[in-house]
Amino acid sequence: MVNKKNILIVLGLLFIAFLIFFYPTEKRKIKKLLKNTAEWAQKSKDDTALAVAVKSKRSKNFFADKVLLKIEKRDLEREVALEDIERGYLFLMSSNDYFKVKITDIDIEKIEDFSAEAVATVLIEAKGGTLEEFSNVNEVSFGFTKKEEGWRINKIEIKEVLEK
Amino acid sequence: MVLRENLKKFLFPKFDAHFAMRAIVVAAVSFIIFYFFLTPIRLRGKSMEPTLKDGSIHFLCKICFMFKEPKRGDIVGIKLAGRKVILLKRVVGVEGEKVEFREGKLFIEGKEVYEPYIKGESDWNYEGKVVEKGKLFVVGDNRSVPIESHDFGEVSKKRIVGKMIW
Repeated sequence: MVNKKNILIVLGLLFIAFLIFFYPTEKRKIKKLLKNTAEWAQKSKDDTALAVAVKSKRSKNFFADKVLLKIEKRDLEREVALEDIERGYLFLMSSNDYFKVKITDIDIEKIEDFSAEAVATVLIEAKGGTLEEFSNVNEVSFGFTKKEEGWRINKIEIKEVLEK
Repeated sequence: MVLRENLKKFLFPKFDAHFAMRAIVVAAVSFIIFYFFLTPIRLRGKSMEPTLKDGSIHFLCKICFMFKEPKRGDIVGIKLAGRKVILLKRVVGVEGEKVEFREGKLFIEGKEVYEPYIKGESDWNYEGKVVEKGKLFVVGDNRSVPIESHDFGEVSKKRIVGKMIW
């Protein structure tokens, strides 16, 4: 005979576990944004030019209107507009048959009401097409801003772990 | 007969409380050993070839540098943002040493260093750098690639997570 009280306890525990592991906290939303961005920046040989063009228009789902790009190794620091991101995306995707981005080890370092910062390891692999085969792994610092539609990336800083 | 019985018991144990306890202890000990002391890693990329092949599996000793400093020739794991992805490189220079490459040969403090692990031709020229305090100079073994496309240089000792031992 199953006790009603026990069922309630089990259901209560399941609910708490759900809250702990799946409740969409702001941190989880940011991690999801990074994962979705990595998914968006992928291309396989089967993706047609039309599909890539359509995907490029989705950049506004991931990036703010202006994104600060910093590359320590090259002493580069510039602001990139959303349109430039779309153009860059189209160039990369049309120049490579296969393009893969993986974002892992995401650590949200700071989170406030409308801004956040995270650090992650980003693996990029590109092959086929007109550009040289490329495979690289970097530590990247991301900045985020919160808009009405949700979190958007507004800073990408590629850290120099090995200093030449 | 007794041996057969024992073998049978070993291969097909009874799923009782003792078995569960043993399984938990084995799992916990394995986790502690392989997470904190001896982490298995799968290599991706060609920067350590021919010493380490792309796709090969190795073990990283996380306590090897607890009581001694990394030295020239050690292959070390370098932490990036977290611990899921790490870089594997070889230490060629320690703090205070001047590291140079001339026509693919490694020079420390102006003296050529014999590196038996390097195979193939290399034309690297790197004017040199004195390794800062608290840092190490690391390079991959694959020096056949152009110097611009190979990640190497000084790294903070704080980023070293262990020594590759196998």
